[in-house]
Amino acid sequence: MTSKESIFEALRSAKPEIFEKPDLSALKRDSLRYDNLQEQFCKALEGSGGKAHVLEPGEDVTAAARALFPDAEEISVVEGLFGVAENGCVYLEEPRDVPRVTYFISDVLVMVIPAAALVANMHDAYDRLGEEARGYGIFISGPSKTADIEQALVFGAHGARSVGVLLRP
Amino acid sequence: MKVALFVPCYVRAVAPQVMDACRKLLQHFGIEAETPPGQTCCGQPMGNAGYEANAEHLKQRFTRIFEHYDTIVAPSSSCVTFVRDRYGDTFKGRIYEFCEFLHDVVKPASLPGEFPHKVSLHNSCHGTRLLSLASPSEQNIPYFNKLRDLLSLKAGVEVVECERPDECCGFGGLFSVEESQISIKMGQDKVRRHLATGAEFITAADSSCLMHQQGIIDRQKLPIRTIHLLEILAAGL
Amino acid sequence: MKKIDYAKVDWQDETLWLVRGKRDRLAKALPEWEALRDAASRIKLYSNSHLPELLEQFETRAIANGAVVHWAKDAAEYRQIIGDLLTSHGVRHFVKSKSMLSEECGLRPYLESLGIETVETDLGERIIQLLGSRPSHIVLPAIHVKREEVGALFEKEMGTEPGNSDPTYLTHAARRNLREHFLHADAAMTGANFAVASTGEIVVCTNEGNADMGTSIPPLQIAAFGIDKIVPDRESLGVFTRLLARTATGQPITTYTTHYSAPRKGSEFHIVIVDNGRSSILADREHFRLLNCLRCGGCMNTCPVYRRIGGYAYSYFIPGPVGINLGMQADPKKHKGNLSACTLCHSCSVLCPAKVDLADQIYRSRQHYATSARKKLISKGMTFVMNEPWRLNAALGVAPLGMRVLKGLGFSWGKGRAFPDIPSPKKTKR
Repeated sequence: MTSKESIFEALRSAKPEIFEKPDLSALKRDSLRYDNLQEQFCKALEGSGGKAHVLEPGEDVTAAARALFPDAEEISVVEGLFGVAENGCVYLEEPRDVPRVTYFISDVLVMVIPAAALVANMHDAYDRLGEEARGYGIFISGPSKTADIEQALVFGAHGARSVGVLLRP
Repeated sequence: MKVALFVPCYVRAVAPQVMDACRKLLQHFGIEAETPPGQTCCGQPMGNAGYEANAEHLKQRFTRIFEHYDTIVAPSSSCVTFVRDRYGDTFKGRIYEFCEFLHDVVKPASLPGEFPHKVSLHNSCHGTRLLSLASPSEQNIPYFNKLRDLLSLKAGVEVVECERPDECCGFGGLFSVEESQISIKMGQDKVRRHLATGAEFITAADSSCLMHQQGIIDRQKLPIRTIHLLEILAAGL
Repeated sequence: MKKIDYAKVDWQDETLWLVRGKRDRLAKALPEWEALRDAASRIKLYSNSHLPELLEQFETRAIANGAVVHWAKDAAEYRQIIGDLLTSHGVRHFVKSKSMLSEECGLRPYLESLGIETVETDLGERIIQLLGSRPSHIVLPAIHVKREEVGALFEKEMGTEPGNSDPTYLTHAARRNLREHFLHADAAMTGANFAVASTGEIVVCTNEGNADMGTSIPPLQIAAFGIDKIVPDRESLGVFTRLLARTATGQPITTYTTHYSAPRKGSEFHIVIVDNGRSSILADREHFRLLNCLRCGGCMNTCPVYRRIGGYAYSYFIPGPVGINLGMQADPKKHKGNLSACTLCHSCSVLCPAKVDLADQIYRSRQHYATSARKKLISKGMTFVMNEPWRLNAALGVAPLGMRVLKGLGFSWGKGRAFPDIPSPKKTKR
C-alpha cells in the first residue's frame, strides 16, 4: 500500500461526523462596507506602514514614486492588479519584466494599481480572483515587518523597508 | 412559584451567610422556597479535577433530591454549569444561578435598603463565559452585565470594573492546590487590579473566587474586602 | 507543579496581554466578527469531515499546475522525503521559514545529520536556533527572550556592536546576515497556512517576507503541510485571511499572503502532504475539533496561565491551551502533566477564531489521565465525605477546629494566601 493509500484508509476508517459546507453569502453580504473605498484603502495602507498617492491624470509615475520617497537611492516600481480597502494590501502576480524577487529584495517598493480597482474586503478580493489556478499571486500590505524582539515593531525585516502605492486614475 | 434551593457544599462551609441572603431575597419577592434535606455536593470539584466518574454516587443523590422540582436555584456559577451540562438533560432549562434567576425570571424593578459603598465587580469565568451573566471581553457582542444590572437596583452602590474585567482570579478548584504558585500569582494580580479601582469591596456571584481573593487579602493585609453580591442585594431586607 | 520565573512573569504577562489587546481592538472593529468565527469553524468542520475528496482534488490540481506531490504518513517519512529531495538535488545550503510541522517532525536535526546546513529565516526562529533552544510560542517564538539577550547573541554570532540591544539595529543586522543565506541557498522550504483544494495552491502568511525571499531565488522549492490545512476553495480563504492575523498579532492581514501553485520559471516545486497522527485525531469523537486549529496562537495570548508560566513550562513543543490538547494526542503518558496548567476559565474557547472547544477538551482529557497523586487523594477524600450527608455534617463540625490547628501549625494554603475562616456550623442552621 502506498503512503497515500494508507492515509486515505485511515481517514475513511475514522468515520468522522459529517458536516455540510456552510453558505457564506449572508456573511459576505453583511460584512462591513465603506462609503469611500479609496479613503479607506489609504488609511489602512498607512496603518500598515505604507504610503499612498493618487496620481493626477498624466502625472509621471517615476516622478511620483520619487516624491513619495525623496531619500531613496533606488525604487522598484511594479504593477499590481487591485487593492483591498479593509487592509491596504495590493494583489500582484508574477512580474513580466523583472524577477519575482524584486518584490522582496528592493529597499523601496512602489506598487501601481488602477484607482478604480479597489475592493472592500478579502471576500470581494477572492471573488474577483475566482477559483482558477493562477500560478503565483500575492497580497502585500505595507513594508516587511517584525516584532520578534520584545514585540517592538521594526520595518524591513527581510523585504522592503518602505512601501508606496500609486493609484492611477 | 416554588423553588428548591441548592446549597453548594463550599458555600455551606465557608460562606453560609450567602444562603441567608438567598432566603431573604426569595422571601422579599414572595417566592416560596424549600431547602431539600440531605444535600451534599453536585460533584463539580471532582469533575474539574478529572474524577467525574467517582462522583456518580453524588450525581444520583443530587438527582434523587432535586428531580421533582420545576425550578432549582443556587448561588454558584460553576456548580450550576456542572449540573446543567454534566447531568444529561435532567436539569436543563430548570436550574439557575441565583443572580441569573433574579435577573431573568424575577426581574425586580426595585430593591429596598441601601449599600453606600464603592464595589469592584468580579466577573467570574464560569458566570461570564458559560452562563452568560455578562458579555465576555473576548467576544464582539454588545456589552451587558446582569450582575451590574442587579447592583444598580440598590441605593448607594457605586459599581466599577477593574482592568482585565473578566480575567481569571486563579482559583480553579483543585488548580488552587495543585498549581498553588500560579494560582496565588493570579490571585495577587487580580486583587491588585481590584484595589487599583479604589473600591472598598470586591463583589461577585461566586464564593469560591471571593474565598481565594480574601485569602490573598488577609495574607497581604490589603485595604479591601470581599462580599458576596447577594449579601449586598439583601442588605437591609 | 509548574514554576513561575518571577524575574520575567510580569513582563511576559504584560507583553502578551498587549497582543491580546490589539486583537480585541480589531475584532471589535468588525461587526461581523462572530459570524466570521462561526463561518471559519463550519468550513473547517466541513473540510476535515471531507478530507479524502478534498485531498484528492488538491493533488489533481497541484499536479496539473506542475507541482510534484508527495505523501508522508508519519514524521519519519516526512523527514526522509525532504532529506532525499535535498540530497538528490545536491543541496548544501537550505533556508526554511517557520513551520510548526517541521518542529513536530524534528526536521532540522535530521537534515543537519545529513550534513545539510539548515537556516531558519524567521527572525524569532533564527534567534531560537542560534540559542540552541526551542520556540516558547508558535507565532512569537522568541517572546521570552529579552533584547539584551538578543544583543549578546548577535554580538557573538554576527559581530554586532557590544552592548547595543536596540531592536531596530538588531533586526537590520539579522537582515544583512540572512540576505547572504538567501542569496546562496540551493533550496527553500515553507509550511503552509492553507492548502486550497479547488486550485491546488498553498498559501503562506508572513510579516517578514522571509518565506517570499527564500522561495524567489533557488531552483528548488518545497512546501509541506498537515492534512488539516486543507480548505475547500478561495472563497473560504476570504474568511480565514480576515481572521488569522487579526487574532494572531492584531493586524488586519499579514504583510505577505502568498499563493503558490505553479513552479517558478526554471525551478521545481514539491509539495509534501503529511498525516502524522491527524487521522487518529479525526477518529477521536472527543477531540476531532482540534483539527480546526489555525495555529494563530490566540489561545496562548489569552491564557492567564500561559502568560505567567511561558512556553517552556509545558512538556510539548506547542504550549498553551491548544498545545496541552495536541500533546495529549501525540503522547498522552508523556504530556499528561500539562493538563494541570488550566483553571478551566474558558477564555481560549471563547476567543478561538475556529471555535476549537479547547477547555472542554482539557476537561475530558483530565477524566482519563490523572496529573498528580495529591489531587487524586484530595478528590477521593472529598468524594468520601460528600457521599453521605452525616459525613459532611461531621466534617463541617470539626472544620473550624481543623483550620485553627492548621493555622497554628503554620501551614499556609500555598504560600501567600491565608485559609478561609470557616464559621461554626451552628450558624448554618436552616
